[in-house]
Amino acid sequence: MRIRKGPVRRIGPGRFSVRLSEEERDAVRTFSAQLRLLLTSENPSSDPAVARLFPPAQPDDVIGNLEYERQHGNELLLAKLEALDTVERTLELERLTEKELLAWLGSLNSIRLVVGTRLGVTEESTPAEFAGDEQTSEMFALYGYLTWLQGWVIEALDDDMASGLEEPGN
Amino acid sequence: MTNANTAPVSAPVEIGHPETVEHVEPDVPWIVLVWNDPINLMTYVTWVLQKLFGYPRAKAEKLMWDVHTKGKAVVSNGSKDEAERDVARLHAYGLWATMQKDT
Repeated sequence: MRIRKGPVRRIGPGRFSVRLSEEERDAVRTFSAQLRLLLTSENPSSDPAVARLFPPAQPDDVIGNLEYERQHGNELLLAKLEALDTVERTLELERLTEKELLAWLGSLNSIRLVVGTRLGVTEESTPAEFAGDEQTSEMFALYGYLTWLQGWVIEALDDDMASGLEEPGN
Repeated sequence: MTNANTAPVSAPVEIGHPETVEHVEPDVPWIVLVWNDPINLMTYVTWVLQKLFGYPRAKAEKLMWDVHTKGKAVVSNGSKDEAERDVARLHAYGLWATMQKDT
């Protein structure tokens, strides 16, 4: 059994602990609010970074794709807003249910997709690439933080129960 | 895909409810593809494929590596309605999924 010191851990069946600093929670809060603003703007998909959240189902079939958007566009948007609701409601909590943590996972991923698309990250991106401009450099650092946090959320959700039964709070 | 630099993941406990048959008839007309992108985490893609399709860890990892190294992988197939449902579920998780006729 491995010992983990991550910020997010399974502490029992469907129960998770989240240990984040106030600064970290503020970062999640700020990004969640920004994503909500983008998603509720008049024409969200006109922003290429937001459009990344709603890829075409059939890129070579305009009609088929419109049909898909008509059928699923709204439900996809509502699910993202609902996940943000949950994150905002549970931001200060140190204990989350699986359902709540899944909303965190989905929202962190949506935020990373938008921020990463806006930054133009590649699989080889390094901090040096974004060092030229202070705002961009800070954004890349925050993107890196969200990547790290999401990695731990996945690890916690993925965890088998045997290692999930370690004592919380150590 | 990218890597969160976290410790190696352990065996999954929850793989969701299998909703897609693994060995489907060769003549089913639609396939669902997941495409590589530089943002989604490798562990996340593996986790989503297990969760959505009930694939065993090894199969989900194989598909994830195909996406990562070959640029795409067929993750499910079936009727047009089934493919569309799978694409929508993959989009809900932020994966870059498309569907096309299996020619």
